[in-house]
Amino acid sequence: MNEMKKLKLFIISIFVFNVLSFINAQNNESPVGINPGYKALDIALPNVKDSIVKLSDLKGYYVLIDFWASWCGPCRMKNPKIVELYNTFKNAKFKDAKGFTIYSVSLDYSKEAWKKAIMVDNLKWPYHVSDLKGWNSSAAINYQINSIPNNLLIDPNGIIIGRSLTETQIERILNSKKQ
Amino acid sequence: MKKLFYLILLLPILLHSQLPPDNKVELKVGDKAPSLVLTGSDNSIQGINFPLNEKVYLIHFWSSSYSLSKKFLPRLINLYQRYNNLPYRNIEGFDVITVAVQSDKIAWKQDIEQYNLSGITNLIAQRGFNDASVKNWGVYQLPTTFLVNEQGIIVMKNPTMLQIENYLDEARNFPPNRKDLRARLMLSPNLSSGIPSHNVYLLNIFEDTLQKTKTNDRGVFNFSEIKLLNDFIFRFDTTQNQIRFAKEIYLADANDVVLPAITKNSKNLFDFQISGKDIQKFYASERKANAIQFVSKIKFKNNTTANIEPASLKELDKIVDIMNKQPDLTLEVICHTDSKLDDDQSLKLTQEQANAIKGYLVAKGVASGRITAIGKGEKEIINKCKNKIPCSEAEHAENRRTEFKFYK
Repeated sequence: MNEMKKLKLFIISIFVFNVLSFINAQNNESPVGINPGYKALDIALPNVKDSIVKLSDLKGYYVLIDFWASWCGPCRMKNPKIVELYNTFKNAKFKDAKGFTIYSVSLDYSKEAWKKAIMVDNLKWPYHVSDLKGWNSSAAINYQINSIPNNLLIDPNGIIIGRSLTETQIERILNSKKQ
Repeated sequence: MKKLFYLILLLPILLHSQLPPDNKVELKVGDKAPSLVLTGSDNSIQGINFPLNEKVYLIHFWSSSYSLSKKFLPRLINLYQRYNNLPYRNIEGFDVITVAVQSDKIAWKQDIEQYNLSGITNLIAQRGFNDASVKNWGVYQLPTTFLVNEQGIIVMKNPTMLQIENYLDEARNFPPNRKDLRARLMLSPNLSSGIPSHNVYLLNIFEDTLQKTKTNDRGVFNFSEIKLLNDFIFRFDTTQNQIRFAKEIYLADANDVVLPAITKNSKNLFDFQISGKDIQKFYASERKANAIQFVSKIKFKNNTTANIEPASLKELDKIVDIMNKQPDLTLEVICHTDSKLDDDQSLKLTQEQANAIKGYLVAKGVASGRITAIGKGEKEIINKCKNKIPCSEAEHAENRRTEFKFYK
């Protein structure tokens, strides 16, 4: 009998927890910030064709915000791994999200160099933004990005899951969210 | 009468010597590449002026009637396939143009077919060595090869393939990785049967010797700083007594895994071919790059001093943190700058900047021996903004950067 009670209590507590987290997600009340647990501060920067692309437009997706630049050797070295990550998860089915995509923020200074690097490194995802101000890019300043490559992973509700993650960490997180 | 006879005899020589010798063109490295006006494989007349499309061109004069000059064609195509589509830093690409010095068009077209040349630009000088284009290039023997840079200047005459590869690798966006290779040569599958002081050669697929080395007393040999581009061959000296009469020899990779026996090939040589990813087995792994490397926002006062801006010190504190948390890491601090100063000044400045960063890290408690400070000056300019090329401030800024590379 005692065992039974324990089990009941356990089931109820799980139920309550689920309801609470559901409400939490519904309310969307996480404060805005730049660190894990916070709702990601919005970024709105021009893409290669000069139209503004907002990070918040990608709600419903797992999004990797990738900070890089064409002039950054270590970033270019890492790009093949990012491409591999994109290819692995672009068509994956997630429990709670429409999919996975990458929002690349470049700290470039010149549009030519930026465009060429996107092409040469085969960065095929559609979300590439930059205000061409280098380290003084508003996104880099707001997110306190002082070294690149650097990244943030955000969930379908726009909540920051982690900062400066390795590809292996990102892979592990995304795999655990798959259907 | 006799005099006349001699005169007639001498006439051809006299006539010949009347061609002024300085009429003979002799192109040298540094000269501007002349244009080519010749027939293409589609029978159209093609005029090519250099510089062209900001590309580097290899111009190869050959003839299908001369077999020695054809020997290089497979290598040209191999070179073209490997280098044509690469991303380069300051040039738009690499292309090959062949000029066949011969009248026989049919034989030419057959050779284009046979040697798979159709992907490149093939021209024919049907008037042979008398063709103006051939004369302007000062070509009197075959094969003759020129490398023309993106400014239309001849930078090499009759280079070896290795020289061309090195030239193009320098221009690449990111130079190819270099690795140390290591293996052990043995008489049997037993690791203790290593063959001491034996000559070993590292060859590329065209059997050019890239490096020569000798095994140590345990049969281990090393090749250092090998550019990882091609397939390779290890060749073991068969003239040395230890293996002269051996039927088979054995090799162990860098992790001492013994590989299948090597027997003599058709040329009676002990060759070991390494293809594709197999090369990884031979990586000597003393100094493996750890995953962490990044460019940090480190600012120096006025960009032309070695005084670190106080705001950047916070970034350096993060480096101190990484080094303290992982005591087995070593660090390279690499500073680059733009081309505004002259080369020597830039080198000196970046070395001072790297030293300043190292100084700060050491003052914060990181052991000096764990940090290498490297000033690269303007040796690795990543855009077109080399010396004297006018550039915007933003373009110059791309080149002023500080890289941190951690090694385990």
